[in-house]
Amino acid sequence: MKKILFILGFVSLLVVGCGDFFDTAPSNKIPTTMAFRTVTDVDNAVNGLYDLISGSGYYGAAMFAYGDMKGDDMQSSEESGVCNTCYMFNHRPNSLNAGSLWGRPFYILREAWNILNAIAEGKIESGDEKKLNALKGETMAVIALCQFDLTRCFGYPYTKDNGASLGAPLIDHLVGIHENPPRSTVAQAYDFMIEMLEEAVTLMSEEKNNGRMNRYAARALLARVYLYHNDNRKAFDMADQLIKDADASGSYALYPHEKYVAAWSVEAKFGSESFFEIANSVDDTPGRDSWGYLLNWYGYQKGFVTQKYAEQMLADPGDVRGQLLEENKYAGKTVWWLYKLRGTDLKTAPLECNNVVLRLSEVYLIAAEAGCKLGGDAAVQGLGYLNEIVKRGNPDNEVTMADYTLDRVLDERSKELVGEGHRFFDLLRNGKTIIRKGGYHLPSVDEEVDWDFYKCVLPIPEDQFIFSPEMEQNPGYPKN
Amino acid sequence: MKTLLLLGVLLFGFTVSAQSQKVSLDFKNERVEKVLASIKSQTGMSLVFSDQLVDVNRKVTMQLKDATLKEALTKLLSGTNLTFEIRNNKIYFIEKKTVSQPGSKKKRVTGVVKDAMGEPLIGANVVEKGRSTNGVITDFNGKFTLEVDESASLVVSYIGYLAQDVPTKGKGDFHITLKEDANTLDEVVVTGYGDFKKATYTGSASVLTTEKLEALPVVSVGQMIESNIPGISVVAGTSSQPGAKTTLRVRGVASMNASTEPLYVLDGVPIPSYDLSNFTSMSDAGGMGFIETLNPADIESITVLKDAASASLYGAKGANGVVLITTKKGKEGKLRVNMAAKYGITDFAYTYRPLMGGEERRELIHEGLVNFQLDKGASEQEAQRYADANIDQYAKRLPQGYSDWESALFKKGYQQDYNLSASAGNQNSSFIGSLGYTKQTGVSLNSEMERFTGRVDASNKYKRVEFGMNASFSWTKNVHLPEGKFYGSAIYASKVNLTPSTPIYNEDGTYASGYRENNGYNPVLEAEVNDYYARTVRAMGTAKIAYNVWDNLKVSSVFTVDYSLTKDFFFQSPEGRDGATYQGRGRMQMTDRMRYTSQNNLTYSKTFGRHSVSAVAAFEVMKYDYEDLYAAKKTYGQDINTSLGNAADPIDADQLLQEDALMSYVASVNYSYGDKYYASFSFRRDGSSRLSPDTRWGNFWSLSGSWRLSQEKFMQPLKSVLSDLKLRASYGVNGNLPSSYYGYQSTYTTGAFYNGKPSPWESTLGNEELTWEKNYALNLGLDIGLFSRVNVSLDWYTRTTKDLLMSKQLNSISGFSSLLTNVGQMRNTGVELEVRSNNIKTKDFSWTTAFNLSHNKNKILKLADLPWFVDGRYVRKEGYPFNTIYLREFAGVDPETGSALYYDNRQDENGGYTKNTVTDPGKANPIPLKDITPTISGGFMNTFNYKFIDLSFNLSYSFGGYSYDNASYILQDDGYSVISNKSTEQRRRWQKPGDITDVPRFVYGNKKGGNYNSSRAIHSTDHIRLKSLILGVNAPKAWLQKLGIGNARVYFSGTNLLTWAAYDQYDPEMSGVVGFYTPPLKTYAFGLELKF
Repeated sequence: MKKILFILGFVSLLVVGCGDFFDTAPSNKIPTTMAFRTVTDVDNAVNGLYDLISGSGYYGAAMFAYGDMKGDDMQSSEESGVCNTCYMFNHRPNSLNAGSLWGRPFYILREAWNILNAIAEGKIESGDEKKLNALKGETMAVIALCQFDLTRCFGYPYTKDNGASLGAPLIDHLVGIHENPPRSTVAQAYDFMIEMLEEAVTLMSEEKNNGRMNRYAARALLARVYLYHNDNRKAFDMADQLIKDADASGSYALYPHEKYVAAWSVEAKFGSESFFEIANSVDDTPGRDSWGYLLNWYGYQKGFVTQKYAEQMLADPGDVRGQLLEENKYAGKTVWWLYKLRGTDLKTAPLECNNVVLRLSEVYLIAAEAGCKLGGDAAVQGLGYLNEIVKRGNPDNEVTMADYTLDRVLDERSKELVGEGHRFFDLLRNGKTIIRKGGYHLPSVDEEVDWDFYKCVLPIPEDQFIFSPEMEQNPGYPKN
Repeated sequence: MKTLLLLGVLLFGFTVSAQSQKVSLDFKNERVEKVLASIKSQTGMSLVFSDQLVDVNRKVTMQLKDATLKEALTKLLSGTNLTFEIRNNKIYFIEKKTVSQPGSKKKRVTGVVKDAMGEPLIGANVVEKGRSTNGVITDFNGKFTLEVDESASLVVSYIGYLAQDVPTKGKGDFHITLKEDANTLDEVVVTGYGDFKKATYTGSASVLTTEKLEALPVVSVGQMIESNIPGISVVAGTSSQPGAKTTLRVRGVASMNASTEPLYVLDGVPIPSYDLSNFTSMSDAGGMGFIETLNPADIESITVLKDAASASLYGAKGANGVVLITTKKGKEGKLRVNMAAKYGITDFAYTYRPLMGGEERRELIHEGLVNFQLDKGASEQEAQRYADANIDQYAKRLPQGYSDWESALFKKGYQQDYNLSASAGNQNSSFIGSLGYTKQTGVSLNSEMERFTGRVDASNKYKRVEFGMNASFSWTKNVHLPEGKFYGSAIYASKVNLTPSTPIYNEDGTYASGYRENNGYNPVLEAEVNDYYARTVRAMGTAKIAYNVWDNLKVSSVFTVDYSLTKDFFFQSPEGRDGATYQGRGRMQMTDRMRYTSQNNLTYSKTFGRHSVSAVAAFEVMKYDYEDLYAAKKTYGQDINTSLGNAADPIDADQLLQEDALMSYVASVNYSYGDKYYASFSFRRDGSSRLSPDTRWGNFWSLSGSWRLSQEKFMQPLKSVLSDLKLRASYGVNGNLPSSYYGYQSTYTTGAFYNGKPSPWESTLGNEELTWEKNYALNLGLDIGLFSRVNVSLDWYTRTTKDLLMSKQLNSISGFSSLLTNVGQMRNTGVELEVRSNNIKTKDFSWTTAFNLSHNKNKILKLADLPWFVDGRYVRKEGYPFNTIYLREFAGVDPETGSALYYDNRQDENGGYTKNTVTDPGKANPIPLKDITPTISGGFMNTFNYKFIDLSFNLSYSFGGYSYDNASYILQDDGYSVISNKSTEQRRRWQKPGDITDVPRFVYGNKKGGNYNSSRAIHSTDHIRLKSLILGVNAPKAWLQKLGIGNARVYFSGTNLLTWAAYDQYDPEMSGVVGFYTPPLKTYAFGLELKF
């Protein structure tokens, strides 16, 4: 009898009686309240911003597909996916078909404001104020980058109407979950990001921090923003000074002609030109959704350079940049594939190659473009910078002052920056027409596109009008 | 070895024979009834007697200590004309043989009482009509002898059988066959908190005894339940690949974020229904099931609890119904051994997206190219020239001939199944052990499941203590071919991308790959060189102890440990497309799941007069612990050895832990009065770790009652027609939990990395107010028995989900796009009808029919602050059913131009839609279209027995439902993409002005046709299907006895054998948004069963 009661009691009490019965916690998360305590926490959280930036819906692939596939240097194959939808301008309010270009930047902006607020509220154990300030500046630079991308994807180029039209909402604070911010004008957005960046560069560190932005990167971004803002003087000055400072630093230099191709190999990550590139590794990559994999013949074969681009490069065999193209069959045709993003060898699709966002060559070309637009002394220097890029490609080539036109600069940008997400924006902000005819272009593609074509900007997604019914849609698009 | 040892101990432990069983009695001048009750509870035996023979009110004095049962009974019956016999754990009280009194006007009648199968009925009552004191009970051969008046009639009755009047005039010897009472009221509803006879049950439950279904070639519990129980549906979007998870739904969808799956309870212990697939390979297709690790042959019966009263005892998670699985237990008697073997062949049950062959596809695309040029303004001749020049890009004639991907990738599957079980028992102890092996291969390459199961269940009763132990073990290996939109998936690739012009082999016989189609994947090659499997070991142990504190109060405790380990391995060969990038990659995830539950019950029952009360109080805890370990390596030197040890570079290693805890207090009371009125009340309080401390506890309750009208006096005149009539009603509330374990907490992830450094970011926006989702269910039921032959059950229910857990959409500008909240409301209303009928029952032939029908209608009553949102192909909108398809409306084909037409569906001022036709789908608004849920569905089961042959079949049916073909955007795109496969439906395309058809003109690059998702791809799922068929032959007993075999049976069985469906392109059971996963399969099987 006693034995039985004992057993019964034992079985029933086997698991009870511990007060922490409900205390469970995930092994890969911490409560938000515990997230910011030390400078290291802030440093890690800033690193987290880049982790989000590196997703395939943003700088992992979509941002590049958006900038390249909509231009005239690259085109998609016949397959579906983000390359094809961008190439076809297949954007609708109910499906943007352009990665996460509406959602992800807002998410990063939220995270960034969490960091700035934590710093402002004095939550961080002090100790290294300088580092904390540098991190604050870096966060502000990320904020500017996100706001810049939102503005150039959802708003017309500043140059079209001096920023009078609407861009995306301006995220200048931590947006509450029940807040519905309105769209700001493009001009307001530029003012905001310029202000952020100008302050950021005063705070940031000059030290190289691979995969992240330092002061050089923020200045390169600021030069680009000035250029898009049509503030050619500031763009030129910033680019000019940055080139000089970079040169003086000893850490940065243009890739020389003979090492140019090698500079794009997987082993040569974070090279001497690189201000900011998305770090990928085999265990931390969007994998088959990554920009490199999409473009690779041994990968997804989603896109290649247009016939026009290939012919332009092939016409100048001395130009080292032509060596980044590889010939391979696609659907019975010989097409040229861009091998800027490489695998460990030419027959391996890339997973760990980095995606370049800001590099020194672009800064040279910013100076060249701004100089050309400014004329005078700036043009002299600008031509010099242009020729550094031209000659680096093919030492036998040189641009004379007579040939130094905007179109020539844009051509050079096209040759130099293909696959880096620029071409569509370069043509658009300069009011050029993008022509996509003949060659291997798909039969139903939009053949001529300029800033008057309503699809040159993305529509505001239909969900947005549930929250802000009065919000304006971009002209030409329905609200659903 | 261990198992054998355990078996030996158990067998040894419970050989206590009836005669030597000891009883102690201490009664002074007490009623016989009391004494008998004490004997019954001490021995656990049933008493069989007629109260016309035994005077239970006689007072006796019995004072015995540790006397044998025989001594006690002899003493009790001394001085009466009764004697007793003990057989099969029952004590029979029988009248002593009396010698007839000569000279009276009486005669002596003799006879034998048997059942329809010719088995003697022991203990049947034989009473002279009108003289109830004159009666006897049949003996062990079913025989009786009785003195009656010359012209008397006998009333012969037996529990579970229909009483029979037998006139004796002019006859002295009788052969009486009693018919079984077809009433299913004796069916037992096992609720886990007490077993109820269906007659007295106040809730709504369906019982499925698996005895008859054992012959079916099914390998999982879910497949067994499917279409045999009304109100249950199998969820769309699940694969029929071997080992794939079957997801069931009881009475519609009642939740959005929380689980919609019923709770599974195995022998009273809640068990989980995990998806075991770790890698995404099967996740698109429903995953691999944990419930599928159980051996269906071990199951005795399945009960599905559907209403609040039934399920509320299970509170947490009971909201979606409860599936109670009762395993087989050892039965009293000598050792019984069962051996069963089955072999079956499996194939697609229905047409699956028939495609155009090589030449036909070539013609179609040629036509598309011509049309493309004509539309551009080219002349007919130019257009033909263009098409001729370009056709080979899209539909090449291969030198080695067109490829037949179907035969390269698909084959017939087979299935084999072996079971061995042994059981034995006596009054106090019983045991059963079983061993099973199942192997099933799928219809596509590299898909199979192999399973070993073992189980031992033993129980022992000694005096007031019952003790039971149960241990089960299973080992399952799944070879799971990736499904869904995987390029390596046989189903997806072959139906979409791999055209007859895509080569399987190069001309030199090597595998072709790297082509444009299917992203260069050749699934035949991938299947050959890659390697993947998942192995799951599950071990479960239960200990039960119960103690009768005194007669009516019992305390019991059950402790269960359910442990499993899954190893999921995926090797992508350097020869294959995926593996090439890594020069071979291997990945392994080991998942360890540990779950224990402890249940402690106190039960009390008491009958006083016509009142009877029973009550349960229980305390339960459940704790679940999950841990996984993941590792990946790349760079293999060869592909002969695939394990991670052969790869050079580690890529990744990861570990994750999760926990879940639940604590519950339960109380319930059942009351009945005079077998007429029944009432139950239950209350439950649950606390879960998935909610914040402030909102953690939820209270759930139910109230139910029933009234057996047929027991009322005023109904007695109708008794011959209306043999039973019962009204039931129940109302109550059940709970459901968020699927995420930590959803209420705002968290930063610590498990994200960038550039080799930690990169935390805010991963969850918590909601501290998150609480239980509640399901309020009202059930009204009516049970009717007619002519003791037909039973009808009709249930009407409505269940309203309040505090619906749903992801409230947030303005994505805030950074987060959704937040889990308790905001919405949803309602399911429905009717269920079940008719069971014993049509014919004679000695040699019987025919029974069971028909069931269910209807469910869902409606979203309230969403979060948005009145509607789009979720894939569905719209979730207030006032509309949950599964309402939301697309553009197709308006047919313009007979003049052949272009597709759509309704613009602009909202007009009256709230209606304008129905102007437009050719630009961009100008057509999507609108809520069909609710996919069938209006009615059910089954129609017939069972025939003729002598030693039995035949049963079940027809399932479904009407009023729809599905959306998620492949039509490519298979019927009217030319948008010409590198993919094309459906044979494109044969009906418009070709010349005046053609009246529903398929538009085929034009290369067509942007406005089928690639625009529209109502064109919505299809009816109406169908009738021969769901199961069993034809069995039992060998004659006489032959078998010579061989020492108790029973031998051979059978043919099959599932999904015949189908009549409204739509002819894919299986009608593929419902919802039909993607790319293995459709239902048909299996033919032959089996053999031997019982010793």
